Amino acid sequence: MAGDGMQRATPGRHAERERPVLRLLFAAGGFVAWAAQFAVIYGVAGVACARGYGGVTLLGIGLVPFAILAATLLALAATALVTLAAMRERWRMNERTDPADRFLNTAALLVGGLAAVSILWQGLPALIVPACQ
Amino acid sequence: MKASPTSENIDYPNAVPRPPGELEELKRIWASPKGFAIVTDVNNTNVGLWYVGTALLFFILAGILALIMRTQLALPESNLVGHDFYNQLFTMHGTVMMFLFAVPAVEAASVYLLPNMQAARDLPFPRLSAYAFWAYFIGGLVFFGSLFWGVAPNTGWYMYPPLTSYQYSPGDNADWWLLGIGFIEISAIAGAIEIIVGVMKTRAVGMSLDRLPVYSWAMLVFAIMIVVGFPAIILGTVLLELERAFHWPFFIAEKGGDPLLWQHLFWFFGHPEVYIIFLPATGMVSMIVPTVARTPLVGYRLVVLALIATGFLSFGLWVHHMFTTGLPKISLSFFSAASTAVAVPSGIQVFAWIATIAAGRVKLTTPALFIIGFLFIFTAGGLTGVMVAVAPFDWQAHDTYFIVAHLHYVLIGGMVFPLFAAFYYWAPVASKCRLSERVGRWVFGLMFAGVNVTFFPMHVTGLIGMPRRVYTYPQGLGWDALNLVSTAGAFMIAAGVGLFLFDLARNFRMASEDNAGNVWGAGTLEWLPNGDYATRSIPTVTSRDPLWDRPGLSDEVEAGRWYLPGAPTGGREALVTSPIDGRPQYVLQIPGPGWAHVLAAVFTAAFFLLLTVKLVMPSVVCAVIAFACVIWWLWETDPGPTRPPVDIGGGIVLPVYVTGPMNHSWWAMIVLMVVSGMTFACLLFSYFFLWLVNPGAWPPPGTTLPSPLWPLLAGALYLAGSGLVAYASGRLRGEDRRRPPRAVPACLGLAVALILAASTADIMAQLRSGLSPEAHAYGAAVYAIASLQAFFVATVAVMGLYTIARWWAGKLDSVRRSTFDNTMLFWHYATAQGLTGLIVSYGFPRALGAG
Repeated sequence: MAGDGMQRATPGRHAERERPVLRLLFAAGGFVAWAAQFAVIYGVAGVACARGYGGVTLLGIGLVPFAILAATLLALAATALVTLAAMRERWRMNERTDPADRFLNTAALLVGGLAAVSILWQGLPALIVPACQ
Repeated sequence: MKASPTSENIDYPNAVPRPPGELEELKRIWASPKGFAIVTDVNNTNVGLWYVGTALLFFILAGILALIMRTQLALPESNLVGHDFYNQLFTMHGTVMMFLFAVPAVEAASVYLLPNMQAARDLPFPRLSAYAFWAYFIGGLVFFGSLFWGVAPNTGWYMYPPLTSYQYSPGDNADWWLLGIGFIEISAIAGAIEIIVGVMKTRAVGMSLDRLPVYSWAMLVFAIMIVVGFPAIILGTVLLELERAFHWPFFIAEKGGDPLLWQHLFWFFGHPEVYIIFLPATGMVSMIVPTVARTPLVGYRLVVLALIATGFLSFGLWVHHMFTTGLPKISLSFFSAASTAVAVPSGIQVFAWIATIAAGRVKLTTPALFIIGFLFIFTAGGLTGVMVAVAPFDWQAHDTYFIVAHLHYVLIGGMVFPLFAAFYYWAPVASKCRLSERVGRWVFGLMFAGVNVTFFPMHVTGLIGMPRRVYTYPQGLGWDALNLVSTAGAFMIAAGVGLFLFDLARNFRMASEDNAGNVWGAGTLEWLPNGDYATRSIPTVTSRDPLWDRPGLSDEVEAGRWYLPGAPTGGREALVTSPIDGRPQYVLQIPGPGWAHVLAAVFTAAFFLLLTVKLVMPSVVCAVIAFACVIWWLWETDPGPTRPPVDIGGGIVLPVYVTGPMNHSWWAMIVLMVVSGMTFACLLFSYFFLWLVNPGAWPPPGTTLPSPLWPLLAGALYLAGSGLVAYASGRLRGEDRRRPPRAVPACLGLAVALILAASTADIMAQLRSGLSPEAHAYGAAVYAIASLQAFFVATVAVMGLYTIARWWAGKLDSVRRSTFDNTMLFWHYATAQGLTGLIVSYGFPRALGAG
C-alpha cells in the first residue's frame, strides 16, 4: 500500500481506543481552564457585590480582587500543567509519530499559549477596577 | 505525507473493471423517489438543497420587511406604516433573519456540503436532517404568516420581559415567538447533533484530524456551540411561557422574580449565536480562499486554533449586551476583557486569509470578489465591535443606530457575503451549469456598494442621537439626509439580490452526475465526480488537498478503484471511521426514504402552532400523532448484524453493526446528554440567580419546607431504578444472541415504575407542603426544577417501555442492543439530574438555615 496514510487506515474491530473526547478536551485544555476561571470570577463578583461583601478583606486584599487573583493563578497553573504535559509528549515524538497525534499536540501547545494570555487579560481588571461600584 | 504516489505503483483496494451491474445497483439504491413521494426523500443532496432554498426564501422575506422599514424611515414623519406594524416589522426582521435564515442557512449548507467534502455517502442520520428540515419549513412559513394576521411578535427579537409577559403583552403575539421559535431551535439542535456525529464519524479513509477540511472543523465547533448555547434560550423560552400561561413569576420583580434573568439567559445564547453563524462562514472562506489563490491555506493549525478559541471566548461576552443594566463595574470589565480578547482569533483568521491571498495568484472571480468584500466589511464591523466592547463608549452608543450599523456590518460582512461567495463557488457541484460570472460581478458590486451606502451613514445617525426601533422621527434633527441615503442603499442591496435570483433562475438546474464539475480547479473532495450516491468509491486521503496532490484521484474514484465501490449490504450504507485518525470501523446501514419522519415533522409543527393559538385539544391530538410517528420511525432503526461482515476492498472486512462507543447512535446520545445537562445547568443558574436577588426571602417567610424524608425516598427510588437497569445490562451480555431472559424486561418494567414514583414523590412533597408556584419566584423555581425532571422521567419511562417492546418483538438480544444501551445511558443521566435537583431544591434552603 502506498504512503503512510494507507497503513494508518488499517481497519480493525478495536474498541474506541483513541479516546477521542478526552484527547480533544486535552487539546482544548487551556481554554477549559479559562472557562473555569471565568465562571468563578463572574460568580464570586456577582454574589459578593449583590450581598454586600464588597468591603470584606482577606490578608489585606479585598475579597473580590483576592478571589480573582486566586482564580487567575489557579487557571494559569492548570494551563501550564496541560502545556507542560504536551511539551513532554512532544519530546517523545519522532519521525514515526502519527501526524494526527502530532497535530493534536501542536493544538494543545497553541491553545495553551493563547489561553494563558486570555486568562491574564481576564484577571487584569481586578487590579484596575474597584470592586462592587 | 508529501509523497503522492502515482497511479502506476500502487495497489488499489478494488480491481477494475468492476463487475457489471454494480454501478446500476448503486444508482437504484440511492435513487430519489419520483413524483409527490419526493417529499419522503432523505438523501442529503436533495434535502440539503431544499434546506438552502428555504433559508434563501426567508432571507428574501425578511429583506422585504427591511425594505418596508427603510421606506418608512426615508422621510421624517412618514405615515406609510403605523407604530404597531413597525414594531412587528423590526421584530420579525430580526427574528426571521437570525432564526429562520442565518442558523438554518449554515446548517443547510453543511447538510449538503459536509458529506461531499468528507467523501461520505450521506450523513449518519439522514432522516433526522430531513425531519429538521420539514419541521423548520412548515413551522417557519406559518410563523412568518402571523404577520399577515397582525399577530406577529412585536416586542423585539430579544423579547425582554416585563414587556413580553402576560401583563403588558396579553395577546398571542409573544406566544408566536416563544412557541414558534422555541421549536425551530429544537430543529437546530437536531441538525447540530447530526453535524457533530457526521464530522466525527463519517469521513474518507485516512482523513485524520490533521487532514480534516477547515470547513469540517468550523462546523464541528459550530455544532458544539449550538449544543452548549441553545439550551439557554430554550430554557428561557420555557420559563417565559410558564410565566405567561400559568403566572409563575420568574421575571416579575414584585413577586421575587427578576427581568434581568431573562437577559442573562437570552444573551448567553444570543451572543454565541453571532459566532455560531460566523464560524461556518469562516469555514467556507477558508475553503474558497485557497482555490481562488491557487495555493494551500496558510496557517492551517492557527486557523483551527482560532476556531477553538472563538468557540470558547464567545461564551464570555454575553453581558456586553447588558452594559447599561447597572451591573457592578467589575463584572462589566470581565465581559469587556473577553469581548476585546475574541478579536484575537478573528484577527488570526483574517491574517491567514490575507497571507494565503498574498502567497498565491488571485483571479478576481465572483467568489473572490465576495471574499474581498467580506474581508473589508467584516473587518470594519469588527473594529466598531472593539469600540462598543469598551463599556463607557457603549453607554453612549447603546440603543442608537450606531449599534444597528455595527451589527449589520458584522453579520452581513461576516455571514451574508461568505454565503454568496459560497453560492457562486459551490453552484457547479449542485447544478448542471455554473452561475454567470458577468451577472455575479454586478450582484457583488450592487451588494457591496449597497451595504456601505446603507449602513455607513448609520454610524453617524447613531452618534448624533437617533435611537433604534423608532417608527418615525421629527424633521430638522439632522437625521433626514442620512436616512434617505440609507434607504437608497437598502434598495441597492435589494437590486443585487434580485439580480442574483435572476441568475439562479437562468442558470441553476439541479444535477446529480451531470453537474458542472470542478470548474475552479479546487483541491478538496466535494469536487470529485458525484451522484445521488455521492462518490462512486471512497478514497484514501493522504493530504489536505487530495485533488491537487493526486491529479488522477477523480478518475480512480469514478472507476470504483477505491473503497466500497458498490452496495455490499444491498441497501444504503455509509462508511464509519474513527474520530481521530479516520480508520474504517464499520459499514453503517442507513435508512432510505420514508413517511414517518415527514409526518412526525408535520404533526410536531402542528402541535406547537396550535398551542400558540390556544387550541389545546387539537394540539394534544397532533402531539400524540407526532409521537406515534417517531416510534414508527425508530422501530426500523437498530437493525442488528443482519449479515456477516462485508468486504469494502483492499482486504478490509468490516462488520455492519457495532455497539458501544464506536456506534454512531452512542455518540448522538452523548451529545443529547450534553444538551440536557446544559438545559438543567441553566435552570440551576436561574434558581441561584433568583436566590441572589431575594436576600432574606429564600424561601419567602412563612414557607414550610417538606420533611427531608421525601427527598431521601425519591433519591433512593432513582438509585434503585438505575441499579435495576445496570443489572439488566449485565444479564444482556454475551455473544450467543439467544433471546434474553425475562429478567431483562422485568427489571426495566420495575425500573420504569420506580423512576415514575421518584418524580411523583418529589412533586407530591412540594404540593403537600402547600408551596404555590404562582405566589413567589421561589415556588416557581422549585416547581420548574421538579417539572423539568418530570419531563425527563416521562421520556425515560417511554424509552424503557419502548425497549421492553423491542424485547417482546424479538428485536433485542445480547448483540443487537444499541436501543438498550442508549436507554441505559439516558436513564443514568436522568438519575443524576434527579439527584442534583433534589439536593438543590430540598437541601439548599435548609443549608441557608430555613425550615
